[in-house]
Amino acid sequence: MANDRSFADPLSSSVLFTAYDLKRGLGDLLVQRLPYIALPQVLHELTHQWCFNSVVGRAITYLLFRAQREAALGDPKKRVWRDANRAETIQHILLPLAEGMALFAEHDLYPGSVESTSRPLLACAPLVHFTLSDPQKPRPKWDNLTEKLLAARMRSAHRDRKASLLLEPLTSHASPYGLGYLTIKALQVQGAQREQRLLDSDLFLQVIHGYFYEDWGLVAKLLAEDSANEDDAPQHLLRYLGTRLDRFAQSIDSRAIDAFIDRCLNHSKQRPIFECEVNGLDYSFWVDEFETSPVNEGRSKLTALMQDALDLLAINDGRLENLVPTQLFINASAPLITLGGADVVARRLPHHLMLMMNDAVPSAILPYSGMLPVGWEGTLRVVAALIIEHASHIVLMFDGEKLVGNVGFDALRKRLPDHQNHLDLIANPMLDPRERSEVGSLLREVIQERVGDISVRCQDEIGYEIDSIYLSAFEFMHGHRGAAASIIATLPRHTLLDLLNNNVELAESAALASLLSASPVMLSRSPTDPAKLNEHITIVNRQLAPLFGFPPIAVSQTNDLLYSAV
Amino acid sequence: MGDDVTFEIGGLTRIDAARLRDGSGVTLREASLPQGTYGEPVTFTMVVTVAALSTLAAYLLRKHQGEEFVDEITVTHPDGRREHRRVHWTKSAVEAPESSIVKAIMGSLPI
Repeated sequence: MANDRSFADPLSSSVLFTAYDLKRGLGDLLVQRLPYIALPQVLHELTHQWCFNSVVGRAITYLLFRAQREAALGDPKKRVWRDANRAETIQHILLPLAEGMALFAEHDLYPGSVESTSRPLLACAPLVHFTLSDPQKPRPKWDNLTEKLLAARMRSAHRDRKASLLLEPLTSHASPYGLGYLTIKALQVQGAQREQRLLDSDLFLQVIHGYFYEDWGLVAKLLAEDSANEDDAPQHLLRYLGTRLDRFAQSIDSRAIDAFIDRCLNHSKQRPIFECEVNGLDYSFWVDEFETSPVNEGRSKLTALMQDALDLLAINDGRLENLVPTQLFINASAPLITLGGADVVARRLPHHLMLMMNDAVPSAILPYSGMLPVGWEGTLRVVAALIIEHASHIVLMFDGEKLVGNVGFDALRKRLPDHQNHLDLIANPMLDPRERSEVGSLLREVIQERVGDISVRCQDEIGYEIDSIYLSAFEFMHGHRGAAASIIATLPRHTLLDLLNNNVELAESAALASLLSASPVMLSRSPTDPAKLNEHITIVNRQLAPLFGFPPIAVSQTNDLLYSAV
Repeated sequence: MGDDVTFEIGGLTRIDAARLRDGSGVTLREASLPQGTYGEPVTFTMVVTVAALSTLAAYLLRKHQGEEFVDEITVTHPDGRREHRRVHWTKSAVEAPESSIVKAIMGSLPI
């Protein structure tokens, strides 16, 4: 596990973490404590999940669901290629943005000062161990989360992850990470110039998510029925996103931000809900759009798509009898992420269940009155998950296919009496991320067998054009397009490290300065020599300013770190 | 026979790889992502021969900030057999850290 990369699969809604080993951390998770060192990576993957569950994310998923069903039926309406191509193309175009947002959550996101909170932070907050330093004066949980995040980000392993972003090639076909992250940081600078509240990382991430991923205009574009010019679809989608990136700053003003926060908080019942029923089942969901749109084209097209993609009656066709339940499970489990799955030896005691990390050391002994008989010994599949919308943490224990024990799930059932069918669907050993990622691969094969590998084709066709729309976001200070692109083209590896003359120490200092500037609390002691850090910041600013059009690390006259664009 | 044995460890970042730039006897392999997934930035697996074990030791020393550690490596033997090995190192008062880490890695393998 330590050798793999963590990932999130939009198709199967699965997430595989490498931040920690579930078996070793099982004891903590059973009492709902997330190891603080895992917080940044959890926020990264939660942000991906948040985007998968947006209107844009759902439109992509349902396009693929429909393509899978029609591929299995022999493509009767001749639109498998079109649906799959659109879904793959928009995912490819959005990839730098998606990774940029996730990296922002990983390195920069902290609880902010506005009342509305982003989903990733909401989901993490209950899991941070709460300690009382002074029994007479309990401290708010949010302060604890801020401190845990700062502590996690100051670890050398995390600082290395941040510094590595300066070594990412700034071309999307090589890597979406550096380009995407710098774009997000540039959008924050642009937005904060018009409304300083956007320096609040939590508010900013919510605005970005609402602006790009809860965009009915993009949904309408994605689902447009213009099959005569299907070859032009990638260009249309590229141009649309390019316009959105260019227009972001213009859309920011104080009133728009206030209205957005009010809608998210829903004090006046203004929070938009998208209502959709298929076969008598309710598939409604909240939409936290940044700009409210009176145009209904996107909504009506998504409704029609969901009727096709989630139709239960299709199961009557023998060719879909396995596919339809799989898709329904994926859809039902989309609002949660699994933190890990492990096979754990267990023993049923008279009033408890003992779970063993290894043969010698018990991981946990839980009160238990479930279906396993006293004296039972065996291996249970244990899955820990976060249900994002309800900020709930659950641990499920399966003996084969049967759910035989849980932590938190029974309480969740009591809290959500109207969601029993949905909760029944997700109490499934397929939640185990080791299984779910296999499901994603199998679903992709259904389409590939019909129309070939679309992902490779779309990357070849539009790879280089994606760079220019993203680079325009951090060319805004130059005053003319192409300035950043022309600099990057001259660099041997297209990385910021090239501009720093391959000086790894400078990259390390830039990363540390950036992490410190993002934190709303200060460290009592600098992790490095302050004089050396200041000297390096001066050099970094001088060497990177030509690319950004301004010194990217802002320092006050008293040497306080204010902001970093890297 | 010693030269045919290799040792691997994964999870190296780009900056780890940059620090290894001048190390010989070291191969870096990029960790891949399953198709269609959104993953964390690229990480690498470092593969070293016995001759370059000091490079692996230096990496582990830095990774764990000079403190006692337990980490996992993969040993590929000359016959192709792959062994997952847990390396446990504690600081020694008498021996230099890198050489004692090399010994911990080698375990019972002859050099």
